[in-house]
Amino acid sequence: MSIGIVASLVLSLLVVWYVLGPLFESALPNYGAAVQPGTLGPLLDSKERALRSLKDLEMDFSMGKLSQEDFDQSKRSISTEVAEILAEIRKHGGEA
Amino acid sequence: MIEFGQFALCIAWMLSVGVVIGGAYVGSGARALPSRLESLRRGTLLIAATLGLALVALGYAFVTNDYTVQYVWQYSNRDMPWIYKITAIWGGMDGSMLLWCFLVALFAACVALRSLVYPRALVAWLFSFLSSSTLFFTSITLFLTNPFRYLKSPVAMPDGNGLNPLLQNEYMAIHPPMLYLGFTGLAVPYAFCMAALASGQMSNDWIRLTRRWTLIGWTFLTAGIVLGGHWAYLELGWGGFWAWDPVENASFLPWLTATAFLHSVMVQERKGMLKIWNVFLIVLTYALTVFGTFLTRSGIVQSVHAFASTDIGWTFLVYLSAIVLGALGLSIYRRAELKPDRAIESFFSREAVFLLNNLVLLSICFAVLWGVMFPVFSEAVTGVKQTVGIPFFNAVNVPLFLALILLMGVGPSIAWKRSSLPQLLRSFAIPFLLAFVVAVALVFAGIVEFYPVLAYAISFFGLMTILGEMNRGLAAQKSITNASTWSPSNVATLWRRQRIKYGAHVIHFGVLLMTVAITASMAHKIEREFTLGPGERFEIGRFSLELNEFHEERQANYDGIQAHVTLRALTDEKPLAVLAPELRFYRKNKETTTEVALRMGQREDVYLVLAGIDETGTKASMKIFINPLQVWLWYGAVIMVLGGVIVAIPAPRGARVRDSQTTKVAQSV
Repeated sequence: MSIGIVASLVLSLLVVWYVLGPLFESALPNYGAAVQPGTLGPLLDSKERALRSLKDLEMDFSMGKLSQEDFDQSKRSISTEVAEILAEIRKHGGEA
Repeated sequence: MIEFGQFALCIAWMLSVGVVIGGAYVGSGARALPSRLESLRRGTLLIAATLGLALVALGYAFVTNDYTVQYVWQYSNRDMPWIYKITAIWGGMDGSMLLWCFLVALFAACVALRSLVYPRALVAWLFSFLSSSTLFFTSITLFLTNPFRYLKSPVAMPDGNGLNPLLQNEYMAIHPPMLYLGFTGLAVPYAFCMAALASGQMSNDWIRLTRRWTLIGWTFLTAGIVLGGHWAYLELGWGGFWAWDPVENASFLPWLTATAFLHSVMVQERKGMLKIWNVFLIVLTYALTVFGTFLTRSGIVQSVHAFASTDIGWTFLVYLSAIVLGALGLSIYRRAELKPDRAIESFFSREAVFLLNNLVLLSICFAVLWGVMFPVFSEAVTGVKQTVGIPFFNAVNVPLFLALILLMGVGPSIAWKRSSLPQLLRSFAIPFLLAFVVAVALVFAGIVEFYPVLAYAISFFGLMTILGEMNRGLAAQKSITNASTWSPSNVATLWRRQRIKYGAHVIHFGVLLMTVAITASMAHKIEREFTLGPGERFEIGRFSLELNEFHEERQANYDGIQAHVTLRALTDEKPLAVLAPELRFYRKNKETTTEVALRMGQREDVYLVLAGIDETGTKASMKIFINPLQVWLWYGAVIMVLGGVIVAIPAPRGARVRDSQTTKVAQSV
C-alpha cells in the first residue's frame, strides 16, 4: 500500500470524526445572536436607523453642511419618528 | 502524492455537497440546533483544509518535476527557477481552477470562524450558499479540468514544455492570487444576501456584515487589477497599462458594481432605502465574477490574458442562470421585506448623490460589457466578428468617469436627508472657484485639450472638497478637544473617532491621484521609434539616449541580448541611468519576448523597448515612451488599497464600547 493511499485513509477517518463529532457531543459553542420575534426586529432596526439619522444630522450641522432652518426642520421630523417608533416598541412589549 | 491530492479534492467535493444540502435542510424550518450548526461549520472549515492539501500536493508535483502529471508536464520544465514552478500552479486552466476553489473555500472558512456571533437562522443558509460556490468550482475542477490527471504517454517524459515566457515574471506570483482573492471574496456578500433572503433574516445585521466582507473582496480586487496593470506595463512592451482588453474588462466589471454597492449600502444602513437595489448589486457583482471566469476560460473572446479555449463554458452559463433565477425567485418571495422604509426626500441630499453615483457606475459597467460582448453579438447577427477598440471605450467612459470624480467630490460634502441650494453654493463655491483657476492656469500653460483640462480641474475640485471636509470636521471637533484645528492631536483624534469616514477619503484621494496620473500619461505621452548604432545619440523630450554596446547572456531557460543605452538630460552630460532593454529567446518554448528597460521618475517614466537588431548586428531598432506622472498611478493605487484596509479592519474593542455609549446618550436625548 503506497503512502498516498494510507494518507488518504487517515484523512477520511479524520474528516468523518471531525464533522460528525458535534452530533454526538453535548458541550457545544453557543450559536447566534438572539433574533427578536414578530414585528419587534424591524422596529428595533427602525429605531437604530432613526437614532443614527439624528447623529448624522447633528454632525452635518456642526460641520456647516446644513442651514439652521433645514436642521430644525429635519430634527423635528426625525424626533417625531423616533417617538413613534419607541411607542410602537413599547406597544409590542419591547424595551424602548 | 498525486493520488493524495486527487483524494483530498474528492473529499472537498463530498464535503461541499454535504454542507450545501445540510445547510439548506437545517436552515429551512426550526432545525438550527447547535450540534447541526457546529457540524456544518466544521465541514466548511474542512473543505478549505482539504483543498489546501490538494493545492500543496500539486505544488509538490511541480517542485519535484513529476512529469507523469499532464498539467505539470504542460506548464513546467526543469530549467525554470523554483519560483516559476510555484507560480505555474496557476499558470494554466486546471491549476488556476484549483486555486480558485481553495480561495473560495478559504473565505468560507474565514466566515465560519466568525459565524458564532451571526444570527442562528442565517448561519445554516450562509454555510449552504458559501459551499454552493465552492461546490460549483470544485465540480469543474474534479470532473472537467482535473490537474491531477496522468499524462497519457507510452514513455516517461524527461522534461516538460515550460511556462509561457510572458508568465515568467515575478508579478505572476502575486497578481493572479490577488485577483482571485478579489473575485472569490465577493462570493461572501452574495452568500450573505442569499442566506438573508432564504432565511427571512432581513434585518440590518446582514447588510452590516456584508459591507465589511464586500470591502475585503473589493480591496483585493483593486490590488489585483492594479498589479495586473503593472505587469502589463512591465511585460507587454507597448508602453501602457490598460488596453480595455476583454480579460482586463472582466475583472473591472465586478469592481464597478462592488464599488456601487459599497456606496448604496450606506443608504440602506441609514435610511432603509434601496433594499432591492442592493440585492441586485450584490447578485450582479457575484454573477459578473462568474461571467468573467466564463469569458477567460470559454474561448468566447480573444485576449493575451485568456486561457486556452475549452468546452467548459456551458457549465458557467448554467451556473449563471441558477444564480440569477435563484436570486430573482427569492427576491419575489421576500418582496414585502424588500420594500423601502421611505423615499428620497430631496435631490440635494447625500442619498441622492449616492444613487446618482450608482447610476454612473452601472452605466460604465454596461458600456464596458457592451464593448466586451460586441464581437460576439456582431458575429451572431451579421456573421462577421467586429471588435471595438480603445477609442470606443475611451470615448464612452472618459466623460462618465469624470462625472463620477465630480460626484466623488460632491457626495461627502453634502448632508444626509436634505440640503438647500444656497447651502450647497456656500459649501462648493471655494473649491469650484479654485478648480476654475487651475483650469485657466493650465490653458495659459499650453494645455488646451478639453478632457485633460477638465480632468485636472475636477480632480483639484475633489481634493479641495476632501480638505474642506476635513477642515470642517477638525473645526467642529476643536470645541471638544480644545486643540487648534490642524494640530496633530486634533487630526489624530478625528481620524480615530471617524476612521471609516476618513478611510473612505483616503480611497478617494488615491482615486484622484490615479485620475491625474492616467490623464497625464494618456494626454501628454511621447512615443517614438528610432534606430541607433554604437556611439550614436537620439534626443526626445528633455532626454538624450546613447547606445553603448550590445551584451549577450545565456540563462538556464533562455538566451538574451541586451542593448546598453545611456540616458542623459539634454542640459547635462552626466548619465542619469544606463538602460538595458532586452530581447529574450526561450529555447524550450521557441518564443521571443521583449524585456522593457524602465527608469521610473516622479516627473515621468522613460520606457525603452528593444524591438530588434539588424542583420549586421550593429544597429538596434528601439521604441521609446515618455510617460508623464506615470508613477503617481501606482502611488494612487497603493493609497486606495491602504484606504480599503483602514476601512475594512474592525474597530478596536474600546472604540466599539465608546460607540455604544454614544448610542445610549443619543437614546437618552
